[in-house]
Amino acid sequence: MTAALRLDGVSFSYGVVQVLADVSLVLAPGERVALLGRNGAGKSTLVRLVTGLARPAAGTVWVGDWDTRDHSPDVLARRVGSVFQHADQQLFARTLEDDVAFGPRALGFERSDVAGRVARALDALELGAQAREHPYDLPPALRKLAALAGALALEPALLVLDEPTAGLDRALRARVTRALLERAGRAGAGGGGAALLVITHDLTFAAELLDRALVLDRGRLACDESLAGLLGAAARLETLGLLRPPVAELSTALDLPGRPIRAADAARVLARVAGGRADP
Amino acid sequence: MGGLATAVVALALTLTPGASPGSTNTVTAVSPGSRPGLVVFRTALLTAAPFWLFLLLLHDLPTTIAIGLRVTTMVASFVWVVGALPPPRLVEAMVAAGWSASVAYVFAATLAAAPVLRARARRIADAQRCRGLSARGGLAHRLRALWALALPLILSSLHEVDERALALETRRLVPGARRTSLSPPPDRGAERLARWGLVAACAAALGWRLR
Repeated sequence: MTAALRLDGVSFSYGVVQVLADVSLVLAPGERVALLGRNGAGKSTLVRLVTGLARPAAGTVWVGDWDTRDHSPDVLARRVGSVFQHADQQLFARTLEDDVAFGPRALGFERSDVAGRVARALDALELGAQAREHPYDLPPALRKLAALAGALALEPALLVLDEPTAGLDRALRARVTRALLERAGRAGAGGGGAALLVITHDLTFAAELLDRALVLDRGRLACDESLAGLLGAAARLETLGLLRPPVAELSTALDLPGRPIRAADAARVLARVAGGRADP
Repeated sequence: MGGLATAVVALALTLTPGASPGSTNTVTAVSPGSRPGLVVFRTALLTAAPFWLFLLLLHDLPTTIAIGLRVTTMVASFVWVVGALPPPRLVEAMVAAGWSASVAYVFAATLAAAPVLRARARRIADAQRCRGLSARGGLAHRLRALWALALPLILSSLHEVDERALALETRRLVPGARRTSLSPPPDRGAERLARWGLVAACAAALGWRLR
């Protein structure tokens, strides 16, 4: 099966400052991956390379079987849906549903297809009630969700999200988590669901949604392993400038079987332990 | 000859160490690794260049040179001021000198607006391209693309006005309020002398032109 995203020895510089050095990685369809690292580690630059907004100085970025060098960002949008920081500033249509429809229309999908995509995206994020409202009449947090709905409506094989939960409360974060889990699990282009590559400093959100962690450190891929494994290694997290989420902290402190990192998993294990039926 | 001399002086100022393109306070863009002085100088030249082109299309060569040098002087001076002045320090200095904080803020905000808007415009253009917006095609398509780029910029900027107003109010930047400066920038005697000297020179030049 073709990878949703593959980076082969990718390097990138701004002038003489090297931002990414020899980064190689592969994302399979439907894979849910956290891109972590300190500020300035090169995460946003990597997203710009994946979306075609920047071109690698060395190496190749493959989106499916497309070399990003051969396609402009508006063409790559057929395969890559992206949400950047400050995404709420991109909204401009008179109604939320019109704005969400902007991408599919720009890509030339049929009118009926566009309507279906918009409805699915709004449903996924539970924004149906606001569909006819002006985006700027919505609170900032919902505008952020509106931008995410725009990316979901493209129904791409790869979703690249830069801090999708910044400024969202717990309920809205849960909404985003549900929508992305549904999208990653759904059969789509390429056979699997959409692969997710999510930049986040919110490890609680990451733990609930994502399975694998890529950590960039000064432009190099410092770590590529399961998120649960990374969250179990407190000392390593500290050296990478990351803070362990409470559930992972609790799992370690109580030495819970399987060291769950998700709240629901931890609750199940705790219930088993409390009932005297803990796994050995 | 006078025009050439003032243009050279203005351009030379853009190469001085004071004219360094910071991250938030200038209209000039800098990429990591580039030499700051040259960036400000280049920005001044690139901004002035289109004026020369249009002047040449409209006028003969002597008039183009005469007006072009004046335009270059104005552009280079403005770019230099913007490159050398961090707006927050300017506000501090103006408040310390007894100006109204609101006036100082309006002045500084004008200087700071260009880079902020440019960064936002770039973010919006990137985001719309990643949503499938293409600027290629016929005139109607290009106009629609322009709409999708310009409207979010205007809307988000207008929307920010309320937030800015609230932020200013919480900082007591309201009419009638008297503010004091916590750490006013030093105003040396030589600087005061230079400032009044420039005001006198401007007045003299104006008088000379109007006589």
